[in-house]
Amino acid sequence: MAIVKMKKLRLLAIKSQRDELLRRLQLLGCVQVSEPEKTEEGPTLARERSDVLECREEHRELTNALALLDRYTSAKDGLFAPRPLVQCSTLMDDAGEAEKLAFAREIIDQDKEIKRIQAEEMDQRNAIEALRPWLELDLPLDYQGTKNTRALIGGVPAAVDVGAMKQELAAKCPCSEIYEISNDREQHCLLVLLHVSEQEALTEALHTYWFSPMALAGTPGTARENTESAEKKLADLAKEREALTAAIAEKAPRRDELKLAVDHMSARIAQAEAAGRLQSTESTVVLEGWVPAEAEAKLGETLSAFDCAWETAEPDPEKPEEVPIKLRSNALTAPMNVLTEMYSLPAYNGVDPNPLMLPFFPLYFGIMFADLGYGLLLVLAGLFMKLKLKPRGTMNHFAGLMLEGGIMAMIFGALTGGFFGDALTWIAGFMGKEFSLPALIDPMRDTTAILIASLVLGMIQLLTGVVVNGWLNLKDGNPGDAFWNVAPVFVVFAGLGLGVAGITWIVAIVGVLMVIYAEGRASGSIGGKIGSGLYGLYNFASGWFGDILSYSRLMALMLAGSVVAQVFNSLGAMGGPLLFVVVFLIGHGLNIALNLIGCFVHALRLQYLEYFGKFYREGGKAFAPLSVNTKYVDIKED
Amino acid sequence: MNGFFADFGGMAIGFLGAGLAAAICCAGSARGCGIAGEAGTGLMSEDPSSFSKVMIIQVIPGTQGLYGFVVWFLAITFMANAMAANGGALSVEEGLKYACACLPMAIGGGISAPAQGRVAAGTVNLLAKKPDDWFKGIMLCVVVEFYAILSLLASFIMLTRI
Repeated sequence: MAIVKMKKLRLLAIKSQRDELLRRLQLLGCVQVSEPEKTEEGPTLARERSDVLECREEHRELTNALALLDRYTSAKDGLFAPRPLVQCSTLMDDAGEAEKLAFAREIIDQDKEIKRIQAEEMDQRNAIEALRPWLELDLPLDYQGTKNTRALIGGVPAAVDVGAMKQELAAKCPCSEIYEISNDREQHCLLVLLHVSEQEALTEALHTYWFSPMALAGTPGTARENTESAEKKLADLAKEREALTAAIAEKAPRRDELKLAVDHMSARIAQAEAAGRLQSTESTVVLEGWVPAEAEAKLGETLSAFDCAWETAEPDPEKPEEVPIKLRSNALTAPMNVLTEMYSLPAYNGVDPNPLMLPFFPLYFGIMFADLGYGLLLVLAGLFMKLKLKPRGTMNHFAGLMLEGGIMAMIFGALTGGFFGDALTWIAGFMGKEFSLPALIDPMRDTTAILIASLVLGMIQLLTGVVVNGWLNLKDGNPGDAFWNVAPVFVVFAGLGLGVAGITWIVAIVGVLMVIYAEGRASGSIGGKIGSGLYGLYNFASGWFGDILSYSRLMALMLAGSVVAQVFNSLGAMGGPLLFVVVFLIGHGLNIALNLIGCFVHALRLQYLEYFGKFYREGGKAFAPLSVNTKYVDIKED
Repeated sequence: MNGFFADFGGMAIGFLGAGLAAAICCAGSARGCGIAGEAGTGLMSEDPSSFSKVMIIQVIPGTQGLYGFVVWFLAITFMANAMAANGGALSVEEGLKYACACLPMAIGGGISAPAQGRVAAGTVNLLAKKPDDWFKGIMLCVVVEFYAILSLLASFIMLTRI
């Protein structure tokens, strides 16, 4: 519900206990090890070395092996299979690490071998393909000729007219003979026998026909013999490849071990990274970092087992940007983390926006999505995610957001009488009955009322933002800022209310003067005060006008969603019940997908642009403690 | 000639307006989806597994065509009702009203769809280079969508108020 108070931690420990200390801190999961400040580096303190690069390399190997195992066995976990539960001590146990690494390397090597075999198979297949046109040639491919004759094996392009070529050559070189072995779309395959005396003339003549020697000319044996041996090799290679594939597939039962090893190595990487941020003398290490104030006692308990000295200090109020941010949420506000993280975490001297967004975001989403059926689907999807997939982190928050938004959409769907648009009316119509859901508000008729309600809601949110900003000013110790930031706004709006009601305009005029004073009070000279005050008044008026009108999108998206839904229903109903079902499924599927993104983005925009603009102080970095983060297993405390 | 125009002119003008809403929006959406799809094929030639995401991005600029169709459908339905109530004829004045009511959608949809298509093409680039952030690109596309929605509402409210 708030930004967790942090304390700066400095810890001095014996070097020989370094790894055990980091391991215990990792299990504790509440200390962020930060980069040491540059100024502290000197001749006595050196940067501690760590084996983070080796760990990353080993992690990569294990991950690769796991991916290979998945590929060769095609044994996939079901998409919705829960992660196995593992004892924390089992995960952190270094024993068997070398064995698992060797196991992973074996898989990787076998895969490399398979790749090599596949490349060789490709070569053999290419050779067979190249030999195919020459199968009818019963001379060895390296046949050179007899004492007085020469043999040329090669091809001319398909476009050459071989008959004409033969005639021409016969005229020029009467002692030579050309045999056409075969022809295809690309070339004529030729055997040319010639007398040595005509070699030069013939070579020249052949040149004009783009004659080129065969690629495999010079290989011993006939084309047929070569093909047969290549086929035999191919069969051997295939056998070898299958044996290797089977060997990898046999390893499938150890997949879970490999997964555990990957998570184990991730934990090792985190440890090594933390170790790399330490500074050290010959026999001690220095750790600088952050710990939540509430976890200090727990930390002390853990540290009492070590020979170390440590102290904590309040963060420097002048440097709020260096304090890591951790937000404490309850079940209701936690889903808002999705929105906060997407924007930017609050600064340490700011305020946790999650509870401040809670009433508004789901409400706005519900108003825009407003449909009982759509909301119900969203709630079901959210429940499914929560209960079946048991996601962690952002996805879990997202599921919560779906639940909260879905419930609000159902409420507004009930108020506006929408269940997949007016689907029930049409379905009742098919059965010859008259029916329509009772509706408190009809978006098609009460458009103006909905518009006004949207703007009023917007004003409530914006004024909340102004009050929060005033509260932050008070916390900073600036009551003057607090008063002048908050009071003029309320006086102006109260004055406008009184004025419109016909009672008096005096309050409004006082409010305007207050705005001018508030905006101009920072300037030095009287002229400056008036100038910047008037400019501030203009900004005040145009800013508030634009901000409030921006909330009209609540009405616009509510109406658009229900119009499109109703049009799909009436489109489908034109063709009878069967077509209705088809159009219903496609149309509402489309409308839901579109509205889901649209309503989310526009509800979000109202928070980020209009609401946050009034009070939010951003720029915090997330608290990232040294802890155990797993991908494949869930941890059970010992 | 005058009599002919008085008898059928309203219907013709009304149909012209309704037709423009559908046709211009559909043409715009075709351009938008085309721009996004072209960018998508480029990514898929490198990474075919991105197909589902590329397709989601490609259909985003398709909604304007749908909105145009919705307006067309509503306009002809309302005109048919008006003609039925009027003994089969639509006055020139009424026809002009329907045509004008269709214009916001025709113009807003026809222009916003290609604009959205360019953002969608950019989102494909985002998907190629920063796959984790592709959804943020979709949000940028939806910002353009809002103006198509406003156009739809403008046309819709006018159509229902005639």
